[in-house]
Amino acid sequence: MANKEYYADFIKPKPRWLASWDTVKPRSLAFLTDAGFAALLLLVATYFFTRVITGGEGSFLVMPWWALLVIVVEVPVVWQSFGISLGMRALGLRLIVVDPQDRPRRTVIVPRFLRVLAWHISIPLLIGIIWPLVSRDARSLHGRLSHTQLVGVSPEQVKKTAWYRTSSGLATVLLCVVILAAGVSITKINLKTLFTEASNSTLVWRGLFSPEWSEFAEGLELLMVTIFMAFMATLFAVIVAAPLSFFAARNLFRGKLGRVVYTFLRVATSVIRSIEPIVWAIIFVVIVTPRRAAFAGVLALFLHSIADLTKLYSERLESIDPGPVEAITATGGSKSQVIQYGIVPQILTPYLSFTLYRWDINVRMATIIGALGGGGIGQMLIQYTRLWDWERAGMLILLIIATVWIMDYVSGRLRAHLE
Amino acid sequence: MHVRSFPKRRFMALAVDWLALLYVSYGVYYLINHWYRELVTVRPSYQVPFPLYAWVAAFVGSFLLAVLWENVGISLGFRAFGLRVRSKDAQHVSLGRRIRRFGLDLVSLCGLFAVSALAAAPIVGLATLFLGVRHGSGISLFPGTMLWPISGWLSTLGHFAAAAAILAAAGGVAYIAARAMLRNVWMVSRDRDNLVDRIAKTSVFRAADLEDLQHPKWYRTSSGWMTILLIGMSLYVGWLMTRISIAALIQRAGVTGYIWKELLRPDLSHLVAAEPVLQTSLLGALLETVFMALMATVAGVVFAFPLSFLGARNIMATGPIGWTIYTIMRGFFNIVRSVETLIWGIIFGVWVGFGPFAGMLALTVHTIAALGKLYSEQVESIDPGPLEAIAATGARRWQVVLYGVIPQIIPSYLAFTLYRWDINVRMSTVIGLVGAGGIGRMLFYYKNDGRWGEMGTAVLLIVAVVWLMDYTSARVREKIT
Amino acid sequence: MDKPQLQIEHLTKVYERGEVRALNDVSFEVNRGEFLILIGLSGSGKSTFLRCVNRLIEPTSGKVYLNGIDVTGARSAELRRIRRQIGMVFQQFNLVRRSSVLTNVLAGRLGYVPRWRTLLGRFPHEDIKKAEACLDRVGLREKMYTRADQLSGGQQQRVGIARALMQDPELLFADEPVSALDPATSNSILQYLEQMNKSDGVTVICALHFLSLARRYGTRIIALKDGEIVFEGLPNEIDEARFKEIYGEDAEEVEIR
Ligand SMILES: Nc1ncnc2c1ncn2[C@@H]1O[C@H](COP(=O)(O)OP(=O)(O)O)[C@@H](O)[C@H]1O
Ligand SMILES: [Mg+2]
Repeated sequence: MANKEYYADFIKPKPRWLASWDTVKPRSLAFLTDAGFAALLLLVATYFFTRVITGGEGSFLVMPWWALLVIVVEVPVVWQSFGISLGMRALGLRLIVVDPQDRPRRTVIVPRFLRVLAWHISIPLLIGIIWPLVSRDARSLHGRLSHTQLVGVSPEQVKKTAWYRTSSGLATVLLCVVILAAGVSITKINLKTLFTEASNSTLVWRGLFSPEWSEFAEGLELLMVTIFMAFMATLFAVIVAAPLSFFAARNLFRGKLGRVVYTFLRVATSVIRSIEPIVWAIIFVVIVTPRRAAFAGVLALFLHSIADLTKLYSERLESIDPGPVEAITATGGSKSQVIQYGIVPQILTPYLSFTLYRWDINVRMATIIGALGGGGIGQMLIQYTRLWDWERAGMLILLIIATVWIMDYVSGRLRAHLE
Repeated sequence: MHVRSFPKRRFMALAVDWLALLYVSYGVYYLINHWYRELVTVRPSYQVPFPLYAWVAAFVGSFLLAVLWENVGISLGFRAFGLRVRSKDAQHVSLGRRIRRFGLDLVSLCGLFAVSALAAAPIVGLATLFLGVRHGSGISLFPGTMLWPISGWLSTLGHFAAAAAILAAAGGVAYIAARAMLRNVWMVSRDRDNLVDRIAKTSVFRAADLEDLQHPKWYRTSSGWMTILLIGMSLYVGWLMTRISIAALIQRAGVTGYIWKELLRPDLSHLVAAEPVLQTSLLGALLETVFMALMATVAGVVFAFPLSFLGARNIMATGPIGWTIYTIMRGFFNIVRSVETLIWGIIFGVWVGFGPFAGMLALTVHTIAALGKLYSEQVESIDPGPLEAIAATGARRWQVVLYGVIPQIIPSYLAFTLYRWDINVRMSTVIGLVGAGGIGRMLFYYKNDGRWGEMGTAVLLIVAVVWLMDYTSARVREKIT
Repeated sequence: MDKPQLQIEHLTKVYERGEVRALNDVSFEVNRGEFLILIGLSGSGKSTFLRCVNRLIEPTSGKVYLNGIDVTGARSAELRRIRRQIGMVFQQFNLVRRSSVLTNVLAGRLGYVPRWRTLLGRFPHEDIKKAEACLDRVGLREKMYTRADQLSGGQQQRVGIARALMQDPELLFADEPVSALDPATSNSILQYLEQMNKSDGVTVICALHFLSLARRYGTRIIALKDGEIVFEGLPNEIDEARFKEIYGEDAEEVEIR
């Protein structure tokens, strides 16, 4: 079967530089990982220490940027030459000594020094960057000069060492410690206030535990507005997202145009999804005026749901069983018939399930979207908190909790039933 | 063919039908209010409220209608739960007999209500007498303060204790009475059919058991039309209630077009330089946001990890104490989870003062609950084989957990944590909107100031960070699962 | 009977992705009423061959004629007309698992029923009658409203046959229809195919794994190996030597009855 010449007219060989790239890639990635590690450690550490020393705002750069650059570049070079760096571990690379005469070597320290030296000559001259891509065996120039080579090892060959005895393990711990220390300083964590200032919040807790019942009826009505906000947004979003998802599924529309539409939809949906609906509501409330705050909420949830549902739906479409599609094509069905009879029955229940899930999320979000002008119960809630009226706010919070609970339960049960 | 009478399903079906019709009457009231008062405002409570008897009529009327519907046709609930009314030998029943069955149903249901009400009434009556009815300006259901001269926290606790006790007692009595009726009055017969079906010579069958089941198109069934009505009505009422107006959107879109233009032309002047009023730069605020999410995730994991074992049924529910802890843990997870992070943000803002610490605490609390629930579900679904094997070697309970449970759950714990980290980054971008720190605070400040260009920058930064986190966490999750 | 129903000329298929030549210059003819069996190891190109004929897979080169009409050159509308004359039964049944048996069987009429009717899901009354008759033929009439994934493997394959029957095919392709089934069920499935072949005069091309079944049901056998025809002849012509040639030196014949 494996007669290479035989297929020659059908197979185009890969160009040399592309083939080399396959082995150069993990080495470059390992370098980038280590450089990134060094940069992160350096930046966060300086930020933290300047904050501690000055007691105010920290600053990231205390040294000239070129000095930083030099350190960031030197760390991976030296680390990879003399030890097993983080990037090497992550990408499964090890440094070996390649002796041209195949003589047994006592010491391996000389080639390592040579490697660092050769790197500093070859890379700044740019030959070192191009060399591995054009050379036949894809070896780096500094590796060739120093008789060393970074090679991939399979996971079975890796020697197990306790993490605290490896340089990368210790370096990771150092990074974690520095980041956590910086985090404590940046988020101004002050556990003492949690206890000393606790009396501030008694008002809130008392309000929550002895709510104002006269607010109940009004709260219910606001809750209806909130639930309808979620309902309208979900329904309209399904109407838009269901057809869109077919264009955002990689396996359905092939060809150049299909590719373009797919990429566009994927990028657009993930941009829209990454902005929380509450931010969208801020924008929409300016457009439709605060008189129609609930409408702004609907629009915000609508937009976010379209993006989210399109993503969920199309991922499901990409994993359908191709068998029925093939069978219906074989009976002579047209493209639209294949979709209707081969694809739609397969995705109907998962789509319903995703929709319920989203409806659940939308109700949750609708309860708070009002906090910044999106209408519904959240708007009232934020007003009461501004007025420091915690009894009324407590009533509304209890209503929200109850609603979220019920929605969660009902949608969970329905989804379990669908599966 | 003798598996008949499905009390639970029938109860659920009745509940569905009743709720559906109740919902229709709510919609009708809303529309009447809307059409004849023309008074729909943002706060619907400003509408002239309906008199009490109208609500009573809606509750009782829709219940009766639901019972009627279940008898003369195939109701929504019956279709959803796969039930059909047939004669004893599974034949179709004539309309006359169905109407007679409706009458019998009414009598029996009235009896059921009467008995449970009679049973519960004395307790409720006594309780109200004992505790008093009116309290202050608003109606307080259980104003313990009238009798007990306790103030503050204790009085609040007293309210709750009294309310819980009375509700539990009344509910318990009603429940026992209803159970007794179901047992002794409804299902006396040997074929386990209730009294109504016995007299009417009918039975409720499961649709799956029927051989001559028909499959009419949806537009030939009452439940199909009901569904259409429910959806249509929801759409219309929802449209009115949320004040959707395409016209407003289009007209105002022109007026506010400049906002979009500004948003898409970001203003980078305060990217690194500090904003004079807030005293932070955009990048600084972004850093604060990311660290808020990071610290909250770390702290959340630290607490959720041990708590998740306390909330796992298969580990805890071995004795009464364990079971109590399990129930409390699960209740805690569920309640805390259903309070949105933003609300926690407000509470902690009042508590420790607004700022990044409050935001971090809010995220932490929510993370503990959400991760605790996910984690403990994971513990519940582990393979019990290894646990048995380790327990069989004579290991202690914590040793079983250490060597049997933890190795099994580590990968999914990691995946959940990353997922939560992702959510925390998203949430931390908006938690600043209620006064906690981070980029959300700057966003809100710029919006209030109408500085759309700078707000656009903030939004872009958020998109970039969320995107980056989303991407990396998805990649890492792919790797570990 | 004079002209062959199906002519295959130099059919070749090369999968670009795996760089595999799955079919290599295959040519033969099939006459009306034959029960042709394709045998060969898995990976020998049987599925690829069947799919290239009705162009579920586009062949790389070569020609296929059905009743003298060029299948390989057919445009979309004509291709669909050709496909509806060819029924197809699959190894994994390929039913829409969440749809009812009736809907699955009715899908066999998609090539006949006007577009708007299928869009609304309103199949003509006679088609529904026909579906009942087809299900009756495979003994599954009571299961009409059952969901397809609640049936056993053998029952699902019978639904697949009923779907093919709905097409009123003149040619039936079966791609290892019994590989996912146990021996007893396998025989009954093949008997349904035989019945279609004998009483309806449908030409059957069936890919099979087991030589014993091939000998029992086939009127002619074609063996493929690495995408090429290595044997063509009557069932009883396959002796020990031929068997080893097709399946390799280590193979042993297994009996299935
Ligand atoms: N989609 C595909 N892409 C690449 N190679 C394929 C594909 N489908 C099948 N092949 C290869 O084509 C050859 C023939 O496969 P197939 O027709 O499925 O054989 P059979 O049905 O006889 O088992 C095999 O070597 C298989 O690996
Ligand atoms: Mg095959």
